[in-house]
Parts: sequence; structure tokens; C-alpha cells
Amino acid sequence: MEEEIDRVVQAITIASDPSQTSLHQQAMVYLNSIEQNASETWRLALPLFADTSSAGARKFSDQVRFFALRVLNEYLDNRFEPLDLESSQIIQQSILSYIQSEYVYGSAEVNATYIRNKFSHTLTLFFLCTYVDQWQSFFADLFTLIRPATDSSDASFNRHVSLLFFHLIVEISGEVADQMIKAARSHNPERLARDGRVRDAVRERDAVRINEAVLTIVTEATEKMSALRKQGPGSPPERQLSEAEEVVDWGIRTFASYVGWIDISLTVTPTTVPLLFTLLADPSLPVRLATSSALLKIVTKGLKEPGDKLHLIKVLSLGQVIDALEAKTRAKQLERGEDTDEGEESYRESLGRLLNALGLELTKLEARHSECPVEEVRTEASNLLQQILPIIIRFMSDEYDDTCSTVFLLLHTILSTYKRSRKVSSGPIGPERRHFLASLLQVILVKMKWSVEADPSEVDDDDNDEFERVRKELRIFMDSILAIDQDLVTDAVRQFALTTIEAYKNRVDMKWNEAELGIYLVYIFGEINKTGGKGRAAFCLAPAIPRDAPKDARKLIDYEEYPLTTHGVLLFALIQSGMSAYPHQTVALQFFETVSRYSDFFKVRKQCIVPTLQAMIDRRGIHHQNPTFRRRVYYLFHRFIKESRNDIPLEFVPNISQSIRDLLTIGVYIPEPDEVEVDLLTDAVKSSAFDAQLYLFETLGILISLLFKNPPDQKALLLSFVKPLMDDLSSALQGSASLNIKELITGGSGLEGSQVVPVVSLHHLIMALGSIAKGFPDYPSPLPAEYILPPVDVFAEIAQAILVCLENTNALKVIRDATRFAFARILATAGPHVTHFIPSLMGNLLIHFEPSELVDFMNFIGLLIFRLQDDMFDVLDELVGPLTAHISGTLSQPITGSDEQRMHVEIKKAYIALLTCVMSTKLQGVFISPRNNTSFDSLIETMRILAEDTSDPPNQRAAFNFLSRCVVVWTQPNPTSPTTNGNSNHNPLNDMGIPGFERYVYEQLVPTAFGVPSLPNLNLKDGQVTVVLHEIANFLQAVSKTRGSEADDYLLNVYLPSQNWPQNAAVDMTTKMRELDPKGFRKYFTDFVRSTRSGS
Amino acid sequence: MADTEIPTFKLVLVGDGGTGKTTFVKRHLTGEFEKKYIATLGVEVHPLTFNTNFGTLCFNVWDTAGQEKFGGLRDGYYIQGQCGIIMFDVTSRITYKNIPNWHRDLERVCENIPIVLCGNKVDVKERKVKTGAVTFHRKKNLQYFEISAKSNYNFEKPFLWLARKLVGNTTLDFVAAPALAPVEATVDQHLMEQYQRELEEAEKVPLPEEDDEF
Repeated sequence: MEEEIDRVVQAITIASDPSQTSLHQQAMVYLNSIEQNASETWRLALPLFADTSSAGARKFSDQVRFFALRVLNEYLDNRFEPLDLESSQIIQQSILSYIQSEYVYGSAEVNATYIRNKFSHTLTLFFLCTYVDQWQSFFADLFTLIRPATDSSDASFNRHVSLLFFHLIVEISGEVADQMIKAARSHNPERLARDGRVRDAVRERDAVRINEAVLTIVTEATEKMSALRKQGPGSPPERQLSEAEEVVDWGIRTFASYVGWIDISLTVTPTTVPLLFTLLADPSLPVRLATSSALLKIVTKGLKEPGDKLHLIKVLSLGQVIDALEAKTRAKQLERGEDTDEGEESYRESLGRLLNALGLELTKLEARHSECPVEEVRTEASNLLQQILPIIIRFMSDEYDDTCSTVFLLLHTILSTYKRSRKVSSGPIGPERRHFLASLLQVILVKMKWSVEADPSEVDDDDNDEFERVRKELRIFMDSILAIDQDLVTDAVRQFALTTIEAYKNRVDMKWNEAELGIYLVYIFGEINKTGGKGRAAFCLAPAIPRDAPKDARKLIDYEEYPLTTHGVLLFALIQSGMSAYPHQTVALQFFETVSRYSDFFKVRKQCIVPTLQAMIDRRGIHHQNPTFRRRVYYLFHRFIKESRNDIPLEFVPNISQSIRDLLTIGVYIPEPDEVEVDLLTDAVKSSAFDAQLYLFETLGILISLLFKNPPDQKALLLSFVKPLMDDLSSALQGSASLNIKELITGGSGLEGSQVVPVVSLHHLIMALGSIAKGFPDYPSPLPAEYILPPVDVFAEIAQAILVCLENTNALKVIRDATRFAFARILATAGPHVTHFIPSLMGNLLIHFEPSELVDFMNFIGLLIFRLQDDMFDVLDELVGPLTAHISGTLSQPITGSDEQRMHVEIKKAYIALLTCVMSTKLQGVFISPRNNTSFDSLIETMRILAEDTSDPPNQRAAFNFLSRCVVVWTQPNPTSPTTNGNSNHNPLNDMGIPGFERYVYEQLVPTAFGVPSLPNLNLKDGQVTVVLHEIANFLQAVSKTRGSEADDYLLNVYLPSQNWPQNAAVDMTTKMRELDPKGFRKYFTDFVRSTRSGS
Repeated sequence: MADTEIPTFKLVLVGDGGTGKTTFVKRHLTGEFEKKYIATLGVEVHPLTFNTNFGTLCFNVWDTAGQEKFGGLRDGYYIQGQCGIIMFDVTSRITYKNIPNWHRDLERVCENIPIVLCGNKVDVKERKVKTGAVTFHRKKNLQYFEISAKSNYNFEKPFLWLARKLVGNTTLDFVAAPALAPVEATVDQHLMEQYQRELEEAEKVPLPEEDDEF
């Protein structure tokens, strides 16, 4: 044994040595084996932990002793059988003599409190094994140690043993009664039963004594604290005081640890309550915080009877206590001023949490009949709640957001109770409630203001984020109050906003944060005022237009005649005030946010459009000196123009267009080498300045499109903007050509420095041109008679030019991305006038591919199919083969990590979606065209395999959905004769059935459909799997419906018997398949699968 | 500059295996360069230095093994820890469920140290532990950050918070960004904003009630 001990000590020395020696690995393996064999090695661990040298000190180092405790814990943990008597006695003896020597007479591990803490856990584990049967006198034995024979003059409790005892009880509560730790353990019924036995035994035998001991020690230490404090500062008791405080702190934590599982009549008594309240106001912060959480545990303790809960709350009379402490701490906060004390604020926070918990308990008692059937209890709870309302308001007004948000939940709950009772009675609300709501509203309005020192334009500032977060919360409160008393809120907001706006107009000196709040209230008014009308009715009290009135009836109404709503009044005043010129950009920006949000207002007061546009265009708006500010206004300007385009006087349009010309210069920003995150080119094209500029290009498109009644002028204006861009495109292309990009196998990631400039220009120019196209309306389908087309020839020219660029630079992903972006927009605007470019576009996009692009590409094609329908047939016909090859190629790459795994799932998803899109637009002829019919079998087989893949339920479902569609179109017994749908491009292949396909359905697809539900790794508890089962049901019904009695016969007489289905089950299945509606059969099928699987 | 002049804190990094502790700590390039192997499997120590407006400070990050099998001295390595990070993986529920165990072990050895809870891998779209489901930090008064070690998202936040606590000054700030390894994933800013919103929503939701009746 000696040798073994030496070896362990040596191994630990090696394992803890920072300079890794050659023996390191060996030492680790050895220590591991010692731990693994704890059932033997605990005999070694005991002396390692407790042995003393001749001088009385512990023989081994702390590190060694700590390891020894690990081994003991390993031995004792998760043991539900009693220990054998011999082992139990040896350990008990060692423990008792260790406690005696170390805590009663020794230094209590003063230099390594972690040993004490670890030991208290070891002791707990031993307790759990022995307390119920073997060591029933566990606590009695411990208590004799806490107060040793009183022959010494100092009769006070042994502080060391007391602290050990506290740690022990906290650990025991953690093991047998802590829900969170319980949830972190794997479920073990044996363990649960054992923990229950231990709790019962403690309650029965020792709870009274434990509680008494804890309280006596705490009381004594509390007295000691106050005595020491009276001696005043400077004298020696400094250390003694902090020792006493530690005892009280841990004593209260211990008390809190068992409040939840020990009878409440022990913990809430005429002695404990005053003690706790004294400590809640103790000078020591840790003591106060510990006490606060102990009270929290008491208040929230689950009690079966609502009456008992009410009684508990009354006994505590916590409301008054918090009231007094709130007032006291607030006064101190005021005294401290700028001098922040985080600790004291955290104490206020804890008081807020306590109030929150108390209030929530009261709302529970007050609220629902079902939970609390006794009328008096409800009334009394309601009165108590009423009493704490003013305290809630005071916490709410704390300038520290962490403190004020402690009562948010309670406020939400109270307000929703008020809302509920509003629904029941429509009378006016009581004066008390109204008073509460009015004071709350005032607090909200104060708290909604930015701090005057804040800089909201600082994006990465955590304080700003925090303010925005709280502001959102406050807005929700406002919302709730409004639902209870609409006038209260609208009047307050209206008054506040109007006063602010008026004051500005009258040149009263006003702080920026006040101005901002005034506008902000106008901004959120539309959100909070949910009862207001929609559209124009939100701003103007015009008569409703009947549903059957002609479409442009609105245009005939002169809204000027009708009075404005409150919100309308606010907006009108705002625009008249000229606050857009406020010299603080947050205020000005809030102005623009507000006017562009409520575009319907401008339909009822058209004279406001021009002044607003002026503000937006000049140095207040898109020509502002600050680039970040400008970028946001670009977007708001775009939104404003887009929404008000029909009311913009046409004579202004050319001027507005010209006024943005100077902002359309495209800049290229090359990041510094140390800023590069991915590669230089990829990073260089990502530019927030350019992204914002795209809004201007789109706005330009919108403006030009307004001139549709005069095509020559319109075209001339368009060309005056497009031409320079095309010229730039051409020179950028020449610049890139010198890079010999076609040779660049790296796809551009190797480009350096200024080399990327022409490529980035190309990228930006292509996107800018696409954005201009987007400003024009979508190409209508079908084309109405007398429709005036936009200058589609210009767009065709643009498309051609972009294509030329792509041809020369298709190795570059950023250009491929930009081209997809632009083409999607140009195709939407110019429709059939540009479709002839698609085959060549595809060809160039398909030459080079990155897996991540596959998904984007397929989505792009899906969009084109949806838009162009039959016009896409030829293109698709060419595409299906190579695309499927690309997909198979990509999916056959090995998966080495979760990233690839997700990529594969995404690709499959996009692929199935694309094929399904082909089916749903009735272009399925492309699958069986002369070009593709040789690969038809493998395509369907691929889908069948996806349908079987239980590791990916969403795609499984999608694959079954696709297969159902195949069944419906290709196995019709009498396919409808090819008809033209009016489109000369309609290919008759789309209407053909596939003779013999039903054999494949019977032999392959039906077995797959019945096979999936019995796959062993199918997890029926997964909601996504239920959806798969529904889709399988749909598939089977599709077969049954399409093939009729033939399918029934096949299932009933051939397939199901071959799978050993009993005759009646087979009959039932086929009958249900035939007769139930889809929803009914889905349910039948899912239930059927569940019943068969639960039986197996 | 001599190491001795820089205030240095021992930081214990714990959490289940595979949650990304090692990836996280290796993002800091100087730390990676200067790390000392104390054990191949038990623990690695990385000195991560940060420049603050109060001067340079250094965290000696003890990257402990999460896997039970190769734990070495396990919580023996926590001894003398001055601050801690508990990490879980938002794409794996079990790693979140295990946090109370890590927290309890850490508290036992290092009483009253500042601790940050980190939910890693928020760049992954298929996350399993939703922001609103993370409540542990509120019960134990820890600070919580969502991070993505692969994309350097919020890399500095845990260190900044700990530094402020340890120095005892809320105005402490990092003055220069540490050199970080290039990103291997990017976080979707919209997704992050959504998580932020969910986190805010979640703060309003009451903690699950403790079932105290047995």
C-alpha cells in the first residue's frame, strides 16, 4: 500500500507539472485507472486525504488530497445499495476524526477552502449512502462537534464546523431537492426513490434540529456582527467582523437551500421573519443579497392551498418592508449622484425582483376563479396588490435599466389582467386604476427619452442597444395601457408631441433628446393606436368607400375637405414645424423615418409631399454631409418615392432625377489587407455604401417609369443615365480583360490590391443597371390592350451588355452573383423581350460552380420558371441533364463535417423544389424529352432514394410530394389529349402519360411508401416525421385515385399479402384509402403506423 | 516587456466536449502562438493578452478537456481560478442541460468568481437551444453571451466583461482589437438581430417555476 500511495503522489506531481515530461502520458493513464477502480482504491484515497505527519500537519499536498476526494466521490456517487459494514465504519471513522482534527481543533483548511468545499460534497455523498439506515445519528454526531463540551470559557459555536455544516446542507439540498441539478442528471428512477427517502427521513428525524441549528448560529453571528460594528472602525475587529459576516451569509444561503423542501412552518416563524427583515437591511451587501434570495424562495414556495399562500404573504408583510427599503436606497442613490456603486444597485435590483415575485404571487391569487375559488382570498389579494402599485411605479422609474426591468414581468401581468377585465365590462375604469395607469404613463414618457449624453449614431455601443431594448419594452407597456384606456394614452402622447413640435416652431431652445422623443412618439403612434383605421383612414376622417365602388373612386375624393385624425394632426404639425432641419442627426433622421413610414398620410394632404421631398433631397437628407446618415436616408427616400409615386407632380420628376445624379457615382473601396475577412475580392464587393446606393438606382427607375405617357422623353431620360453606366461597364470590362481572368482557376480569390478594382466596378455596375430595371413595373401577363411598354429595347441592350461581361468573366463568382441579381430584375421588367438571352446566360453560369451557388442558382431558375412558364421549356430541356449531373457530383462528395452536411441538405431541398416547380407549372415534358429520356429512370430513382432517407425528414416529405405529382401526371389510364393552352410555346410532351410507369409505381414506389414507416430509425416523436407520414398517405391516395380499382386489386391481392398483412387489415387500408377524404386518410394512416410500431 | 508587469488572471474554461472551447481560445492568435502545453489531453494553457485603457492585461486561459475520458486532474485544474467561462453548444441540447454540473463543480473550487456563460455556434442556422430557452444565467446571476467562435462573433465580449469585473471598473475598454484568426463562417446579421430580439423577449418570460412540493 505504501508503494501504491507513493506512486499516486508521484503521478499527480507529474500530471500537474507545467513542463510536460515524457512520463506525463503514463501518469495520466495511471491516475485514470485509479479513479476507474475506486471500488478498490478508495482504501488508498482515505489515507492520501487525511493522513498527518508526525507534526500534525496533513501529510500530502492539497493537489493530492483533492484528487483523493475525487476517488472517494467516484466510489460513493450513484450508489444506491448500502455500503458493507466494514467499509462504512472505516469511512465514518476517518471522516469524524478528520472533522475533529481539522475543524474542531485545526485550521479548517484555511489555505485551501476548496478542500473544505470538496469534502463537504464527499460527506454529502457518504450521507446519502448511509443516513437512511446505517448512520441515523449523522446530524446528532455533527451537532456535538459544532458545540463542543462547554468547558471552555467561549461557549459560542465553532465557526469552522458551522461553515462546514452550512456547505454540507447546501450540498445535500443540491443533491436531493434542486430541480435544476436534477434536470441535468440523466433520469434514474432508483435515484429519485432514494432522494425521496432521504428527504422524508430528514423531515422526520432532523429537520427541526437542522433549522434550529442554522438559525441559532445565524442569530449568534448576527449579534456578534452588531457588537463588532458598535466598536467602530479602526479597531482590530475588522477580520472578526468579516468572519461573522461570512457565517451569516452562508447561514442564510443554507436556510434558502432548504426552504423549498422543508415544512414552511419551520422556516416562517415569529422569530425568523424579523431576523430576515433585519438582515435584509444589514450593512453587509452579501448578507442582504443572500437574504433577499431567501425571501424570494419563501414567497415563491409552492403551497397547495391559495388560502395558505395568502396567509404566508400577510405574515411576511413584505410590501411594507420593500416600500421602506426602496425609499431608503433611492435616497442613497440620489446622494451618490454620478458616483456609481454597482453593488448597491444590484441590491436595489434584488429588491425589485422580490417585489416582482410578490406581485406575481398576488396576481395568481387574485386572478382566476379556477385557481382560487375562495372569494375573500381573491379580494384580499387584490387589495394587497393595490397597495404595492406605487412601489412598482417607483422601481419602474429607476434610471438603471437593470433595476427597472425587474418589475417588467409583473407590470405585463397586471396590465393584461386589466385588459381582460376591460373585455368583460365596457364601463369606465375605476379611479384607482386610472391613477395608476396615468402615473405609469408619465414614468414611461420620461424613460423613453435618450440620455442627453448618448450618441445614438454609435452603432456598436452596448448602452445604446440596451436603451433601444428598454424603449421597445416601454412601447409595449404603452400599447397595453392604450388597450385599457385609449384616451389616456392618445391624449398624453398627443399633448407631449404637439408641445414639443410647437416649442420648436416657436424657436424655444430645446435639447435634442426632447425633440427626438417628440418625433419618436409620432413615429410609434401608428403602432400603438391599433384601433385607428387602415390606409388613409388612419389619418383622415373621410367617409368609408363602399366595397362595390369603382376602383378609382378614391381618386375622385378630395380628402382635403375632411378633418385629420390625431395621428394626421401630429404628422401635419411635424411637417409644418421644419424639424427636419434640427441640428442633431438623430432628430433629423427620426423625422425622415417617420414621414416615410406613413406614406398614406400624404394621400390625404398632398400639399405636404413637395416640402417633404425638398427636405429629403437637400442637405438635410440625401445630400447630408454624414455618409452613414445619407445611406439610411437613401433607403427612406426610396420608400417615400415608391409609396407616393402616383401623387408626385410629374413636372417635378425630371428635376428630382437630375438632383440625384451626383450621388450615382460608383466608388470602389478596397479594404486594407488586415481588414480582409474572406478574400480581398469577396470583401471588396461587400460595401454598405454601395448597397445603399442601389436604392437610389431603383428610385431612379421608379421616377423615370412615371413618365410612361411620353415614351420619347422617358427613353431619353433613361438613356441619359444608362449610357454613362454602359460606358463605364465597357471600360471596366477592358480593365478586367487584362487580368486574363479566364485563366484564373482560383475564381478571383487570388487577386491582389488594385487588380480587383475593375472587377468590383463590373460587379457594381451590373447590379446598378439591374436595380434601375427593378424600379419599373413588372411586365404584365397577359399584356393588356393599349398597355404602354417601357423602353424594353434599352433593357435588352443592357441585358446583352451584361451577358458579354459575364462571358469574359464567368470564372468569378462575384460576377456570376451580380448577373443573377441583375437578370432576375431585367427579366421581370422586360419579360419576353429578353428571354432569348437565357440559354446563353445559363451556359455561362454553369461553366463554373461553387456548391454554395448551386442553391442560389436553382432558386433563380425556379423563379424564372414561375414567371415565364412555357417560355422556359426549351431552356429547361437543355438544363435538366447537366444540372442533375452537377447535383449528383456535389452530393457524392464525402461529408467531413456539419457544414457539408447542411450544404447537402440545402442542395437536396433546392433540387427537389425545382423539380416540383417544373411539375406544378406543367413543364414535366422536359423529363421525357428526346434529350433527357435516357436519364429519366435514374432521376426518379434518385427521388425514390431521397424519399427513403430518414435522416432528413423535410426532404423526405418533399420527395414523396414530387412522386405523388409524377403518379398523377404519368399514370393516368386515359391521358387527356394534348391541348394547347393558347401559348404557341406549349410543348405537347407536357401532356403525355408514360405507358408502363404504373409498373414502376407498383414495384418500386409503393413498397417504398409502405417500407418507410417500418424503418427502424424512424422517430415517431419527431413532428417532422408525422408530416412525412402524411405525405406518404397523400402518395398512396394519389395512386389509388389515379389507377382506381387496379390499384386496389394490386394492393389487396398482390402487394399486401406478400408483406404478410392479414386480410382484414389489407381490406381496411385499401377501403380507407379509397373512401376517406385526404385529411381523414392522413390521420388514419398515421394512427395506423403508430399503433403498429408501439406494439413492436 | 517582462511578463511579470502585466496583471494576469487565471481563467478556467469548462463545458462539455465538442462545444468549441479549444476553437474559441485558438481564435486569439498571440495566445495560440504562445500557448504552453501542460498536458496533451488534460489541459492547455493559453495566455491571451488584451490592451485596455487601463493597460495590458492577460488571461491565462486553462482550456480543460470536456470529454470525461481524458479529464486528467479535471476539477483539480480549477484550483486558484479567478474567473470562468462555461461553454455550451446551441446546436446540442445536452450540452446546455449539463451546465448546472459544470457550474457546481466550478463554484465549489473557486468560490465567488465572475463567470460568463457562452452559447457557442450561433452561426449555425439549425440551432437546438433557442435563445429564449437559455435561463441558467438569470438564476445564477451569470453574464450570458451568444458567440460564434468560427466567425469571431462576440469573441471579445466575455473577456471584456470578466476584465471589468476583475479590475472592478466598468469604464474599462479594450483599446485595440486582438489579432484573430480569419473567419471560417459568417454570422447572418439578421439572424443575430433575431436572436437578440428573442433574448429580449425571453428576459420578460418568467423563469420556470420551481416545483417545491414533493
